[in-house]
Amino acid sequence: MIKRKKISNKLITLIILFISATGNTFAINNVDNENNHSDTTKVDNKKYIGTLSGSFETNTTYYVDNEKDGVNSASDYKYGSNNYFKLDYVYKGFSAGVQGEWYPQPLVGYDTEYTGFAIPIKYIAWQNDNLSITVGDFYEQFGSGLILRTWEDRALGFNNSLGGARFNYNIKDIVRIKVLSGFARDYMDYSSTLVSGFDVSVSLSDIFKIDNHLLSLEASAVNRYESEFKDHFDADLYEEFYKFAMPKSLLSYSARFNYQFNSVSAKYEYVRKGEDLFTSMETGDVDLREGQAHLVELGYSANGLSTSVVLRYLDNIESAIYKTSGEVFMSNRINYIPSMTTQHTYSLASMNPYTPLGGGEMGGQFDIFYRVKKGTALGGKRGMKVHANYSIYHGIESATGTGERMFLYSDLTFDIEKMWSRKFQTTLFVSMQKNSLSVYIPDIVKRNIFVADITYKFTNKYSLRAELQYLSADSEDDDWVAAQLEFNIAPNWSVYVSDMFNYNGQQEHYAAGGFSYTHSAIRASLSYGNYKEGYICSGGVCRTVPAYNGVNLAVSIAF
Amino acid sequence: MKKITTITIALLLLTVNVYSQRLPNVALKGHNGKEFNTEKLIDGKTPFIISFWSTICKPCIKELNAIYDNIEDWQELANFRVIAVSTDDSRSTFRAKSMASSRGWEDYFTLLYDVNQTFKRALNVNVTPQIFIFDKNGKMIYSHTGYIPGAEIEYIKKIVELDKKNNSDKKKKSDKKKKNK
Repeated sequence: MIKRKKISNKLITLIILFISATGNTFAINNVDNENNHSDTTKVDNKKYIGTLSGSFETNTTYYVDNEKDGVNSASDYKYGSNNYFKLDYVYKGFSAGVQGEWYPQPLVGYDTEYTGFAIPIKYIAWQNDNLSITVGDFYEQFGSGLILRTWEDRALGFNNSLGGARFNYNIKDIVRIKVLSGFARDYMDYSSTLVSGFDVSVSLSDIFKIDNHLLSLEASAVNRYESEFKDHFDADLYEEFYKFAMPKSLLSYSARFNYQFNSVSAKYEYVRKGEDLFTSMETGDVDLREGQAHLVELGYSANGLSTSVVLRYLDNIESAIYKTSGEVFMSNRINYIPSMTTQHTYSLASMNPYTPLGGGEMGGQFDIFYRVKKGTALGGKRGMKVHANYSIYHGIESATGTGERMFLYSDLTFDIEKMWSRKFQTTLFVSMQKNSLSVYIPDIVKRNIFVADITYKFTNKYSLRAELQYLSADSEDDDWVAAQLEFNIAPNWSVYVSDMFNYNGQQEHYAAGGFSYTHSAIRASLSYGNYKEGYICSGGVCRTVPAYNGVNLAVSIAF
Repeated sequence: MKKITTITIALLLLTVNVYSQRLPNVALKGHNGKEFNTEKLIDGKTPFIISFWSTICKPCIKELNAIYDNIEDWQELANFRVIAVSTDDSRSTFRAKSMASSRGWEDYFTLLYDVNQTFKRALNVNVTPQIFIFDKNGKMIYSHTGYIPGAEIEYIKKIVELDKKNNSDKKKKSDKKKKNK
């Protein structure tokens, strides 16, 4: 661990020094470029000694006490602040960069292991047409990510970048090879788990020169190696101890097929995971078991009509990074298991999102998009867009608490978007959701959500947007209404007020208001409100956001 | 602490160069499913707008709709291209494709898919919607975060300015050539 830290510190210093040195020269050089702006690329190329770019982002909340019980579970904290800055330097095929993260006190709901200052991302890379090499921290994805995906989601407080090396090699457009190895990130440091992977993609359509078609076969292998696993791994799970030898190596592999011809597409992905920890929901027993997944995606589109079908089967497919004590790193895993349902953005529709059952689920979704043409009776002068989605998921026998296949979730969503005139636009939205209460109880809660979203443009500068929402549930005390009003002054200003009210339940108002200002790549927003406890999920990772009252400042600057 | 100071100083020195960025070269997927290197966007002839969007970003979709509704009129004012980059990951890439096809965006936009947000990171996009305008040589001329209805008028103004500059440069060049003759 110490050795790795030393190497990574050296790398950071090197990159920063390099960027600072070249950056300064570049600044002067850039003025030259500006003066010669009317000249052609030739001049630019002669003097070009690189591009420096970066960004800064802060998300800071000051928590205000609220005397009502249960409303402000964040009252232990006075404030929370997540800050990120990023700097990248590119010179022809060469690039280098860093990302610093500073959490003087992480925002409430984020893992408290995000603390202090660190530069978790630093890299040096080189690429030409066929070869690219990265040394340092990187993000990568094999296929859909079911076998391997490293990515960043700041809103979720998730980052599972790998620190090590990666090689990509292409043989014309025909064969693409990726080889990588790196230590998994552990919040502000590295874990001792080494993830290594190999991915190859062969384009048959390029071999046989069938240009209009895309036909490719792909395969990956990923190994998770933890040298520090003891012979007797103590899993302290559900307040019981299980002793067994946890395999140091876990090998997974995947095979994929991709086909696309004009508007028809078909994809299939199979993943097999080696023996990994498995907890039975029915008995609570912990055991070692293999895992597998199937994913099918089919699509067709023509004349304004597009349809797609996704089918997925998961069985013990989550691939977590464990601490040697047996605990799971909550914010780290090596694969991506998103919930394949509509991702709702209206607040009442997203209150009870579906979380995939990593232990084992099966299901799918169907999407249909249709554009009603302009000039038709329905389409009117400006056309109309219609979308519907239906998704349904069941837990498989080995993963539910009853030991039987069990309904988990379904959602039928419609939305109709219509522009009545240049000034007036509406979206009507309906979502009918059914959630099972838990993997132990087959009872279901039905919720129907209705939304009207109206935009009125007074002039090219001023516009108003109103959002009205209603949620009716078949369980008692669970009906909600919500409204939001937003006034916009193009292209820089936006002001909003909103309220959510559980009118037959706790009768608490969740009111908020705020404004945002944007100028070029700078965006700043300030808001104040009483926020309900929420649950945000992505890729099988979820974060509970506790209820809080507070002032939030969010600033994002890119340069 | 030393580190923070070094970085802050480096940052301050360099923020002067707003818009000095060039188009990064990243391998994305095209609408036909094939790999597409972003350097191909630089054609040395026309400027281009890059708009980052996703199926869960409502203002992004509004922005692209606004561009789509105006593009025929705008293309009479200047020559330019529009590149719509979806940042949807594998949860919704197929939905982004379906949506783009159904809306007829293929007819006017180059559609690209940034499934692991490599291009988004390379261009330092923290928040979507995000618009960039690059000149014909791949130099960043304008960027704007967020979309407010009516903001699209700014984009076409910038494009027309760029077109005028381009034309006057061409004229100067041909005048020079004539003089030399």
